[in-house]
Amino acid sequence: MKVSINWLKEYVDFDLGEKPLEELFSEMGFPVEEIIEFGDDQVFDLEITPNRPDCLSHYGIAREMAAFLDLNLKEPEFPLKEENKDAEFDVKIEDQELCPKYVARILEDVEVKDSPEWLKNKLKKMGVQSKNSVVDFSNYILFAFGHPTHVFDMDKLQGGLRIRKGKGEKILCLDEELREVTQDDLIIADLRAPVAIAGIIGGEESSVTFSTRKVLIESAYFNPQSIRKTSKRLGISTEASYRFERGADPEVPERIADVLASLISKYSGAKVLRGRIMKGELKEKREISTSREFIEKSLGANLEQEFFKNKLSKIGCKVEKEGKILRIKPPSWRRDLEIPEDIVEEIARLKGYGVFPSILPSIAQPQGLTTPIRDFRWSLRNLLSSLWYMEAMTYVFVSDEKDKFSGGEGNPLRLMNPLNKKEPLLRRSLILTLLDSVSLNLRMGNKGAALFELGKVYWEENGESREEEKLALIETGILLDKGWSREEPLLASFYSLKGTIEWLYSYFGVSLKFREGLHPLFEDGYALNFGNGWMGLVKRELLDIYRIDEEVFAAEIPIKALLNGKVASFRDFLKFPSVKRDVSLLFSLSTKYSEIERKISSLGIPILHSFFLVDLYRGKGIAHNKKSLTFSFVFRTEEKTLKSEEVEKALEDIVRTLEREFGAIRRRND
Amino acid sequence: MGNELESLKEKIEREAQGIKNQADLLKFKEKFLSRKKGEISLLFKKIPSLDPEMRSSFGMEINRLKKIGEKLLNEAEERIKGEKRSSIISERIPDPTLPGKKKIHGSIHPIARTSYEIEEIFLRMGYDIEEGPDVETEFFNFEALNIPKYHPAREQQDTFYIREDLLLRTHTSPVQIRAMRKRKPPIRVIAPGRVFRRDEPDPTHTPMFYQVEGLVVDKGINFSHLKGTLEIFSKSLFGKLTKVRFRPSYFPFTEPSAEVDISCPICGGKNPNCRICGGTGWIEILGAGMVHPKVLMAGGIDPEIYSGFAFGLGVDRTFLIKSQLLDIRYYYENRVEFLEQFR
Repeated sequence: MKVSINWLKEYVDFDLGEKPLEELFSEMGFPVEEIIEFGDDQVFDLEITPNRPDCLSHYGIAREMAAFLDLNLKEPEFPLKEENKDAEFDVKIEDQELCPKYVARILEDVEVKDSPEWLKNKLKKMGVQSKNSVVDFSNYILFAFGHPTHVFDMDKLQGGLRIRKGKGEKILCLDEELREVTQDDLIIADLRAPVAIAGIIGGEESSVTFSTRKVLIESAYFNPQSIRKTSKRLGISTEASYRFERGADPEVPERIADVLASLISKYSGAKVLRGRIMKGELKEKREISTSREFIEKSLGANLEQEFFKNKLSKIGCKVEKEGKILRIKPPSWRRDLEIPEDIVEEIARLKGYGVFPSILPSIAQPQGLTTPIRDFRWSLRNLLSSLWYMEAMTYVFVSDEKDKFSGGEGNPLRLMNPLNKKEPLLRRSLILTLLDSVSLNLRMGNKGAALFELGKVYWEENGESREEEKLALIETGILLDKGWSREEPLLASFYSLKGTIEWLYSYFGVSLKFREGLHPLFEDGYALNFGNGWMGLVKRELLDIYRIDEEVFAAEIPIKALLNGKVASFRDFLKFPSVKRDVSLLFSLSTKYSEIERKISSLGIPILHSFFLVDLYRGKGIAHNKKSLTFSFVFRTEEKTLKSEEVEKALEDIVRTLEREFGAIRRRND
Repeated sequence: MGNELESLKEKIEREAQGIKNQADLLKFKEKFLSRKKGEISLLFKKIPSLDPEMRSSFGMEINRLKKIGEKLLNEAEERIKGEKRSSIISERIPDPTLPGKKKIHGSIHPIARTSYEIEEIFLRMGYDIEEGPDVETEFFNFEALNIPKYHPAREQQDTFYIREDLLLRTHTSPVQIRAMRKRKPPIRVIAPGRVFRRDEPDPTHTPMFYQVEGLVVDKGINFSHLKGTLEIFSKSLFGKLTKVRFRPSYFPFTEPSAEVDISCPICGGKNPNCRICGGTGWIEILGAGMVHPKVLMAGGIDPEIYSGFAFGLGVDRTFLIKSQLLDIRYYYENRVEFLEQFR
C-alpha cells in the first residue's frame, strides 16, 4: 500500500521524520518496503498484512496512527446537495449471499472534464493514470478511504441492473480484454448483458467517458471469497478486487456513495438525484467477551486498568464492563477482530511488543530427543565428507524423459502447476537431479565432481503418495590432480565407488552382497544390486540428456538399509602365525571374479582364512583375450602352526580347481 | 725421537680430519692402528733399540698416541654415521617450510550445518525433533492452520499442487498439527525440513528451501515466554550482543503474531549501504506467535486449558546473513567452488 505523507496529514496531524516514521509503521505491524521521493512529498510503500484491509487507505492508516499516538482523527467534510428529483432505477440483487449490499446513486448533467492537477498528482503518486474527472474521483475514494466504487455511464445501461452469476457470456473489460463469465462469477448486468465483473473490473462499453452525461455510482459490499475465486480464475487482480477479497467495510457503502456523489457534483458540475437506491442489508453483530485477567495472562504482564478501554475505543471498539467480563463490539471495518486472542494482539500491538518481559517457560520434563534418522544422517555426512564427497542439495523436479530412467517404484507424482512445464514430475531417483549439478560443474570447467545427497524420492501407489529418504552418491572425472600432494591423480571410477559402498556398509555393520542386475539408470552389464541399493555406470542415453560427455558412476541406497547395523563381535588375537601366499593365474577375459570367488569359497578349505585380489594385469606378455589375476591367500588355524606341506596342498587344491573349472593357467614367473 | 712422535701425532690428527667415508675409515685404521703394519705399531718395534732408561717413557708415549688415534677413529666413525643419517633425513625432509600434503576430503552442505546449529540450540533447551512429509495434504498445510480456501494468505505462499487436496508443503507448520495429534502437552518440538514455493529462482528466491519450525504447548504459556525463548535463541545463534526486536505481524495460525528482527550482525546498522540489512540495522529472521485456538483444536488440544507459541525460520536466510551470501540460488546449484568454501 502506497501512502503519501502529505495526504496522510489531511487526516491526522503529526510531525515525524523519515526514520521515526519508519519505526512507527514497523511497530504498528506495517513494515516499510520502500520510500519514494516526490518533490515536497514522500510516498511510503507499506506492507499491509492480509488481515488488515481497513489499512489499505490513507484514512485507514491515519486512524491507526491516531490510536497509536493518541492523536485526533480529522473527519473531512463532503457536503451533498440533492436535486428535487428522486433517483430511480431497477436494481435487483439475485444472489444475496455473494452481494449482501448494493448502493447506487444517480447523477445527471455531468460534464466530464480533465481532472484538476491536485487530483492527477495524487493519483500519480499511487501509480494510477488519470482518466477523467469522474473516474479519477472513484479511484481517489479508493485510496483515500479504502472502499472500491464503480461508475457507469448510465445511458449505456439497458433497463436496469441485476447482480447475478454469469451465464457463460462474454464481456469486454476496461483493460480491453474479452472475458467469459461463468456460474462461478458474480457479475453486474443490465437487462441485456454483463456490464461489470462485480468488485473486480468494469465493462468497457458502459465506462464513463468525456461524452457521458448521466452517471450511476455503485458502492457495494461483495463476498470476499467469491471475489477471490473469480479473481484467481480469471487471473486478474485490481485495486478493487484486492480490497474486496480481503474484506471491505460492510457498513460504509452508503456513506461512500454520498462522498463520491459530492465530489463528482463539485468537480463535474453534476446534479445529484435525491436518495440512494439501496438493496440488501448487512448488519453484523459481532461481540467478543473477554477479561483483563485473560489478556494479562496471555501476555504474561500486568497492564494499567485505563489502558484497555482507552486504547480499544481509540481503534473504534465499543467496550462495556460487566463485572470482570469485558464485552467488546469491534468496529465494522475491523473484520479481523473475532475472538479474545485478537483482542490480546490489539492490546500487545498498541502497547508495543517491546515492553513485554522476556522469560523462558519452565520445563517440567526436559528431554531434547532427536530422531534416530537425524543422527544417522550426520554420521553419513561426517563419513562421506571425510572421503572426497561433497554434500549437495538439489531441487526435486524432473522431466518425463528423465523419469523414464528412474527405475523408481509406483508411478511418478505429477505437479498440476510446475514452475517449468518441462519438469512436472517429482523425482523417483536422487541421481536424476544430482546429474544437473554434475553437468553444471563440468560445464563450469571442473575436471570432475564427487557429490552425495540425502533426500527424498516420491511416488504414487494405489492413489496414495509415498516418500522415502535415500542416499545417493555420484562421481565423475578427475577428483584430485597429481602433484605435490599426490603421486597419482584421484580418479572417479566404478571400483572406487564400489569401495565407498563397501566401506559404508562395513562402517555401519551392515552385511553387503552385490549381484549383477539390470536397472534403467545404468548401462547393461555395469549395474550392481545390493539389497534395495543400486550402483553402476550411468547410461549414456541419460547422460546425453544432461549433455555430459564423461563417464559417470552413481549409487542410490535407501537410508533405512543402513540403519540397525550390527556391532562386530570380538575375534580373539592370533595365537599361531598365518601364512600368506600369492598366486597369479591366467583366465579368459570373460571369466567373472564373482564366480571365481564363489568357487574358491565353495571348496570349504578349513585352513583358508581369507583371500583377496592383489592385481589384475592385461597387456604385454598376455594374450589379448586373457587376463592375469593375482590373489593373496591367507592360511591359518587356531590350533597350531601350519606346516608348509599343508599350505602347499591347500594351494594346490585351489589352483587345480580353478584350472579345471575355468581353464585357468598358473603363471610361474611371479 | 720426540720429534718423530710429534710429527706422527700431527699426521694422525690431520688425516683423521680428512676422513669422509667408510673407505677412509678403513684406510686410516690400516695406516695407523693396524697391529702388523700400522705406523704406531711399527714404533713399538723401535723400543728395543732405545736406551733402557728411555724405553719405558717412550712406550708410554706410543700408547698415548695409540689412544689418541683410536679416539680420533671413533669420533670420525660417529661423525660419518651422523652425516649419513642426516643426509637420509634431509632427503626425506629437504625443507620443512614446504607445504603439507593435502588430505582428500569432501564437504557438508552449509544448509545442513546451519540447520544443525539451530536444532542444537533447541535440543539443549529440551525440545524434541519431529519430522513430517514433504508431500502434504491440503488439510495439514492449510485448513488445519486456519487458512481456509480462498483465504488471501494462500496467495502469500504460491503452492505446488499435485492434486487439489495434495501438495508440496509450503512451510514446516503442518508438523505442528502432526506433533499435537501425536503427543500430549507439555509439547516442545522443532521440525526442520524442506519446503516448496512456486517462485521463479532469483537471487532471493528458490522454489525449494529449508525451514525450522518450533512449537510449545503447555498450561500457562504466554507471549512473554515466546519473547524470552526467541531472544535466547537469537543471541545463541548470532552472538550475545545481538539485539532482538518484536514487531506485530499476521499469520492465520497465530494470534497474536509477531515478526522478529535482529540487529544486523554484519554492520550493526552503521553502513547505510549494508548488503544484508540495507542500512536499516535490522534483519527479519523469524515469524512467530501464540498458537491460534483453532489450530490447537485442529491438533486435538483444548484451548481452554492449554496455550502455546510457535515459530518458524528460514535456514537458507540464516546462513545468508551469517555468510553474506550474494545469491541464494547457489545453495542448490552445488558448484564445487561453492561447496568447498564451507567445509
